Amino acid sequence: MQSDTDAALARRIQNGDEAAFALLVERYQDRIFRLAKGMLYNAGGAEDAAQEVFLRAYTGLGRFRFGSSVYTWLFSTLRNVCRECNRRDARAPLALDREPSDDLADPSRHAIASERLEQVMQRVRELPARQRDVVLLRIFEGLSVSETAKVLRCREGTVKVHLHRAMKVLKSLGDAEAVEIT
Amino acid sequence: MAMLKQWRSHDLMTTQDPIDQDLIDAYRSDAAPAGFAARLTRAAVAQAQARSNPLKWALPAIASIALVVAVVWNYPNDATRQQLPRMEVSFSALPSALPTLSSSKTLAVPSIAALATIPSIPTLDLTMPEYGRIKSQANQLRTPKLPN
Repeated sequence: MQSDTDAALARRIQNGDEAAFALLVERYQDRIFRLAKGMLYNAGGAEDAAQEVFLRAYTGLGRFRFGSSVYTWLFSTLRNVCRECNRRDARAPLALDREPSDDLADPSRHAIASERLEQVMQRVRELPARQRDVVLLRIFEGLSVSETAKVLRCREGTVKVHLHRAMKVLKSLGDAEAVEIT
Repeated sequence: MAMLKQWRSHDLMTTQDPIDQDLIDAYRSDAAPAGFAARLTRAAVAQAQARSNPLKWALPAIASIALVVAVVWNYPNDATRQQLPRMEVSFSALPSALPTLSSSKTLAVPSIAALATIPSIPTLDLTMPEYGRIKSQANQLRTPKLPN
């Protein structure tokens, strides 16, 4: 999480240091981009959502009071942005069953995994928001339970409960799909 | 520590778990598009400069205020005012019976009720037969005629 360095970067950004902002973006762009993909119904809008998160961060960091870590703050902004995007997309619903991306189209283990990933991510997107966030942060981003709890501003026990429920749902959906195939 | 982290990412996984390490690796191989940070930094700086430039938002405000002032300044006051409907109040014929403050031996000023006396407004002077005729015509117009 590198909170100390993040705080130093945030202070430099508050003083108008553009290079510090570029560093912050480079540090978190992949993570925010991937999380946006997981949280948006329309994963194609992930780049726009990530961009919006960092733009809000740039204008809003002046009001940042260092009560939490920068990553927590970025993640909260991301949740708000994704919620707004999902609300907008819900008015004009898009096809949720998207084709897997072709950028890794070789018949390797990675390609098969990416196809499976698309299916699993689709199920993750359909989870309740809290469970979805826990799965994305804890399982996919590899944060610890305490880090996930800090980011989501809840207790560690709550994280565990949400994770347990989410995994149960994902497993049951996977089993149901397997039965359908056989 | 490395082992602990590995255990953490595997602790929820069994052979039947829907999310295994291959999936997590595939997820983490996804990255933001190339040049994303550079483009974003340029956009953020441009946006911040646009907001901090007072001319961008002050000019429209100043222009709208100037427009309102010009319209008010050039408003044709005299010519238009004479065409407006007016009601004249006359103080020439004050009723003599109205109480004045002279009765209190101080000032002989007419009361406020006297100041508000409105002169006679031309009204429709109808005699009773005319009034009856107009009323009957109005009633005829109001009541629908039944078909024969």
